[in-house]
Amino acid sequence: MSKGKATLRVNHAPKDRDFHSFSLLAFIFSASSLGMQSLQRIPLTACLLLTTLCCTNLAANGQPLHAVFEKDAPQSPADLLEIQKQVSSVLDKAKQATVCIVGNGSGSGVIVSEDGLVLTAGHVSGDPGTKVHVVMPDGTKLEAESLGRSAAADSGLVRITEKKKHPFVDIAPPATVFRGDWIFAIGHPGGFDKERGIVLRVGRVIHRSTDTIQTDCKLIGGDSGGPLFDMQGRIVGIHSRVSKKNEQNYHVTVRAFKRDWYRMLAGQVVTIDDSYAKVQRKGGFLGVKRISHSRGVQVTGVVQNSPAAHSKIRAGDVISHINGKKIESLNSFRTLINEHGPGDKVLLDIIKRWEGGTKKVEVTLGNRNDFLPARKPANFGK
Amino acid sequence: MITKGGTLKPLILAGVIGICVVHSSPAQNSPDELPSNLRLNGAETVRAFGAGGEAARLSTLTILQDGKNVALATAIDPEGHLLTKSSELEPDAPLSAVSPSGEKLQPIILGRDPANDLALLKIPPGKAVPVDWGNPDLLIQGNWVAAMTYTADSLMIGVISATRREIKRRPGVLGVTLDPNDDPDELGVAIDGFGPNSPAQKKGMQSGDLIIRVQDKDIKSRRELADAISQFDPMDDVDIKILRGEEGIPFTVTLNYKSNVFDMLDRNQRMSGKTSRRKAGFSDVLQHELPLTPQAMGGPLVNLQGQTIGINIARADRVTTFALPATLANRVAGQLKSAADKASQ
Repeated sequence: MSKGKATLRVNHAPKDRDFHSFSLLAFIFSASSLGMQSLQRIPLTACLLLTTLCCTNLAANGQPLHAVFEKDAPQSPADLLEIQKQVSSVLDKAKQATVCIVGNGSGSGVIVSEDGLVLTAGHVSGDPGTKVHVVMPDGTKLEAESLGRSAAADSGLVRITEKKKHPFVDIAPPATVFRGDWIFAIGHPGGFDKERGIVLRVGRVIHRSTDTIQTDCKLIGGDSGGPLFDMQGRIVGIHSRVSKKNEQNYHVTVRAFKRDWYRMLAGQVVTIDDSYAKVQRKGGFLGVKRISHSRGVQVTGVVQNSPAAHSKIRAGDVISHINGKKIESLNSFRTLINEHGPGDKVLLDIIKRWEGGTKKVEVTLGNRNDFLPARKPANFGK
Repeated sequence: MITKGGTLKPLILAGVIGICVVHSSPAQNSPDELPSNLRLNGAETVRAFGAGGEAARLSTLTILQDGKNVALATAIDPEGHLLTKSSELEPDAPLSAVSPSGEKLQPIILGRDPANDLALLKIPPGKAVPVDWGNPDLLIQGNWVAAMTYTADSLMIGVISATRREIKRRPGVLGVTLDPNDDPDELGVAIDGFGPNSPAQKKGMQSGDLIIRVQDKDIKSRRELADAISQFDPMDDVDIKILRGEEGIPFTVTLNYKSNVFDMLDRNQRMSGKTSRRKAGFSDVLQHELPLTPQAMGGPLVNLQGQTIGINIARADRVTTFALPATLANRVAGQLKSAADKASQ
C-alpha cells in the first residue's frame, strides 16, 4: 500500500468508533453513592466528554492524541515514534500502581484507589477472604485480602489491608476501547523480579466482546491479573488467559468488573448464572440516555426515532416510575425496562423539566436490535 | 518432589500462578477481528519501521548445519567477520551461511567466547553490509526495536520491555530427582528418578543408585551434591561415582542445560514453545519482547534509526528475548579477532 494513501484511509480506519453511541447508551454510568470505592473515580464528566467529542481521543494532558492513533496502521518511523512517546508519557504512573500478588502462587494486579483496592484476575485473587501479599514495585510487601471474584469473567478484587495512601491509576469508562486501538500490557511475568522490574508489552486490540478483550500483547503465567492500559494511561482490561498463539491473548474488560462490582466488593464468588440472570433482556427498548437522579433517572439524550422520541421525552426529563414501580437507581430502571419485550406498552411517570409538572405517558417499546448493533456473546469457557 | 540438578529448592513453577491456556482461538481474520496485516507484527505495521528494518535485513545472515537453520549471524565489519550465538553451533557439523542476497557461503569459526555465548565467524568480504553500531546506553523501556526472524526474510518489531541487567548463571544439571524424605545417608545420596532428557539416565544410572562421589569430593548429603554439581556448567564432563548394591561404578556425565531437562515441567516454559538451551549466565543483557525463535538468535537488534544496539542472544520464554548490548558484543568481537590474529601468526 502506498504511503500516499495514508491520509485518505484515516476516514475508514477499521476502528469501531461508530459504536460509541451504543456503548454510552448501554453502559452509561454514574458515580454512585453506594460505596463504589474505585469506580467512583471515573468522573461522570468523562462520559459526557465522550458524548460531545465522540471521535476524538484525548491524551492524559487533555491534548488530542497524535493522528497515528486514527490510522489503520502506522506508516513511518515517525508514526511509531509517536506511539512510543505516548506510551512513555503514561508508563511511569501505570507502573507505580502495578503490583505483584503473592498467595498460593504469584500473579499481578493494579491499585485503583488511594485506600488500596486492587483489580486482578479471579484466578489470582482466589477464594474470598484469602490472606495474600501485595508486592509494590520497590519490593515492599503489604498485607492484603481477597474480596470477591467472578468465576464467569475471571475478574477479581483484592484489598490492601495496611492503611496508607497508595499510588493508583484510573479505570477507563466501560467500553471505551475498540478494535485496532493501541494499548499496552504490564505485569510481573514469572513472578516478582526487582532487578528486572515490571515488564512492558505494546500491542493492539484484535477484538472486544462484553467480557473479553483480545490483544496481540504477549502474556505468560504471572502476568495474570496485570493491567491493560489505553494510550491515556487508563485501565481498560485485566490479563486473564493466553491462547496457543503467542500474539493472541485475553483480558477481562472493565465492563465485566463493573457488572459484578458490588457482589465482588461484598466478597461473593459470582458464577455465570449470577452474572447473566439479572441482565436477561426481553428486548424492549425505550431509547433514552440517562444518569441517576434523586427521584429516578434523568434523561440526558434521546435516540432518534426511538419510542422515547415519539413520546416527546426530552433531555432533562426525569423518569420516576415504570408501571407504577418507583425507579430506585439506574440499575432498577434497566431491570424494569428489561422485563418487557418489543411491542409491550409501559406507563411512565415523567417529571417534565421544561413544561413543569408530572405527566403519565404510555409508551410502546421498540425492538432493541433495530437500534443497536447486535451484541456478541462473551467468550466464556474457551 | 523434583529437584533441580540435585538442589532442593522448590520448583519455580510451584510458585507461579499459571494463566489459563485457551485452546480454541477464534478463526484468524474473522470479520470482527483486526486483520492480521494491521496487528503489531502484521505486514503494514512492520513496514512502518522503514529503513531501520532494511538495515537489519542487510546485516543479517542465516547459519545452517545439516541443512537446518540453527542461528542468525550479524555482519560486523567490511572484512567479513560475523558474530553469532556460540551454543547453537554443534562443534562437529559443518557450517554454511546464506547472505542477505541469497548467496551460499562456507563460514569458518575463528573463535568462541563461552562467557558471553558468542562465536566469531569469517566469510569473504563484501557479502553483507556491516552494522552501524548504536548506543545501547540510550535505550529505555518502551523504545521500539526490530530484528529478523530465523529465516531472515521477515522483520519483527516490539519494544525494550524491561530493565537491562545481569542474568545469573545457571549451572549444568545431572537430571536426577532426589527423594526429599530421604534422610541424609552417610553412604551417599539416593537417586529417586530422572527428568526428561536426563544425561545421568542416558549414561546408565538407575533409580536407587547412591551417588557417593563427584570428581574428588565425597558426597554425604543432598546439599553436598548440589554444591558439587553447581560448580559446573552445562556441557561440562563430570566424574561421578555411584554405589549400586555392593558395587561402586564410575561414570562420566556431560551435564545438560537446566532448560533441556526441567523446562518441560515448568508451566511457563511449556507455554513458551521452543526457547534457547542457554538463556542464562550473561553479564549484561537488554530485554525485549520480539517473539523470535531460538534459531533467530545471533542476529542484530536494531533501533528505530536502524542502528544495531544489540545482538540477540537468548529466547528465554513466551514474553522474553535477551540481547547482548552492542558495546559488549563489539568488545568481545575485538578480543576474538585479536586472539585469532595471534593464533594465525
